[in-house]
Amino acid sequence: MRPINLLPPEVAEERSRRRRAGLLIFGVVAYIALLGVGVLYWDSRVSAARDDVDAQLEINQSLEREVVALNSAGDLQIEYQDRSDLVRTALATDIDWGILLNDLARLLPPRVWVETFSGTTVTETTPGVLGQVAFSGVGFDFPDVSAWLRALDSDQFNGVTGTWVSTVAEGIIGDANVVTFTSTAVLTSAAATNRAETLIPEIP
Amino acid sequence: MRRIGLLMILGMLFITAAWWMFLVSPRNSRIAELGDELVVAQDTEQRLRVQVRQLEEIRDREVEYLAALGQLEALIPERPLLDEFIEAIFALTNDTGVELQTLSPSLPAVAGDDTDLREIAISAQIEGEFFEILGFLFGLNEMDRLVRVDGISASSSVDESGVTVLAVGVQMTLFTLADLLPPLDDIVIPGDGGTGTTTTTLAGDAEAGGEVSP
Repeated sequence: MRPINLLPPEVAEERSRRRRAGLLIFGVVAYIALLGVGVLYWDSRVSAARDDVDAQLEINQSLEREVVALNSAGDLQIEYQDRSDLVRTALATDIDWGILLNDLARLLPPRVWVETFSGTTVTETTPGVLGQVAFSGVGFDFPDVSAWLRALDSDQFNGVTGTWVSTVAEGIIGDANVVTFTSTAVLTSAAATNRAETLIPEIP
Repeated sequence: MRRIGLLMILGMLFITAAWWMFLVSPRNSRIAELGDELVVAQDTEQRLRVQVRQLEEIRDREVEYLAALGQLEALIPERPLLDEFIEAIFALTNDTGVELQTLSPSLPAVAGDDTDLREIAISAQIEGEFFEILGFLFGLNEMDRLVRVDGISASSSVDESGVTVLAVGVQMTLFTLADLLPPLDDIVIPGDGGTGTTTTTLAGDAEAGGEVSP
C-alpha cells in the first residue's frame, strides 16, 4: 500500500535539508578523525623505529663496555706487533754471510784460491742490491780467472751477481807461475736471510 | 548545491595534501632517518662483535703472547745489556774454537727517524780456521740476542803447522730500545735534593758519547 504524506512539502524539504547537514557534519568529523588516526599511526611507526634504534644502541653500549674490559688484551697484541715490526726493521738488510762463505768454498774452481775477502751491506740505493763483496785471489793461469768469473756468476751461487775482475797479474809463488787477481761482485736480495720470520714467535 | 559539493571536494583534497605535507611527510622522513641510524648501529654491532671475539681470542692466548713478548724482548732488550752480550759472544768463540782478539762496541745510536730502535755497532776481530769461522757466523745468527752482521773482511795466512788460518774482522750491529743514559728528567743530581732548578745538558748526542754535564 502506498504511504500518504499529509504534511506540507516545506516540512519535508526542511527535514531533507537537516539530514543533508547532519550527513555533512558526520562526514567532516569522520574525515578529521581519519586524518587524526593517520597521524597517530605514523607517530606509532616513528616511536617503533626509535625504540629499535634505542635497543640497538643499548646492545652496542654493552659491547663497547666489553671491548673496554678487554682492552688489556688489545694492548698486548699491539705490543707484540710493535716488537715484531722492530725485529723486521732490524733485519731488513740482513745477509747470511755464513751461507755466502760456505757457497764460495763449495763453488770455488779447483785451481783458484782466495786470499782476502771483504763484504759489506749497503744502503739500498739500487733496488735489489743489498751489499757488495771484494776478493783477491790466486790462480795458476789466466783461464782460471775465467773459471772464477763463471763460478760466481753461475745460478748455483745465490745472491751474487755482477762479478767483475779489475786486475789480473802474473806472479810467482815459490817455483810456480801464478796469476793474482782482484774481483768484485754485488749481493742481491737473494742473499738476504728470512731470519725475521723465523725469529718472530708465531701466534696461531 | 553542486558547486558547494565541488568546493568541499576541493577543500578536502587541499586539507589532505596539507596533512600529508605537514604531518605525515616529516614523520616519514624521521622514520627513514631512524632506519638509517639503525643500519649504522647494526653495522657497529657487527664490528664490535668481531672486535670482542678477536680480543677474547687474544685474552685466551695471553700466555702465548707473553711468552712471545719475552722472546722478542730477548732479541731486542730495553737496555743495551752489553755485559750479557760480551759473555754470550765469548761463550760462542769458545764453542766454535775461534779466538776472539778484539771487540769494539760503540754507544747506542738512534737507528732512524720515527723509531725507538737504537743500534750498537760492534766490530770484532777473530781468528780461526775456515769452518770455525763459519760456525761462529752461524752461531751469531742463533744467539738469543739479535745480532746483524753488516760486514766481514777476511784474510788467510798459514801458521807454523801449515794450517790455513783466517783473520776475520766482523762488523755487527746489536739492537736495544734505550739510550745508554737515562732521560734527563730521571737524572738525580746528588745534593740537589730534588728541589730547585738545575740545567742539565747532554754534550753531543748519544753517538758522540752522551756525556752529562751540569
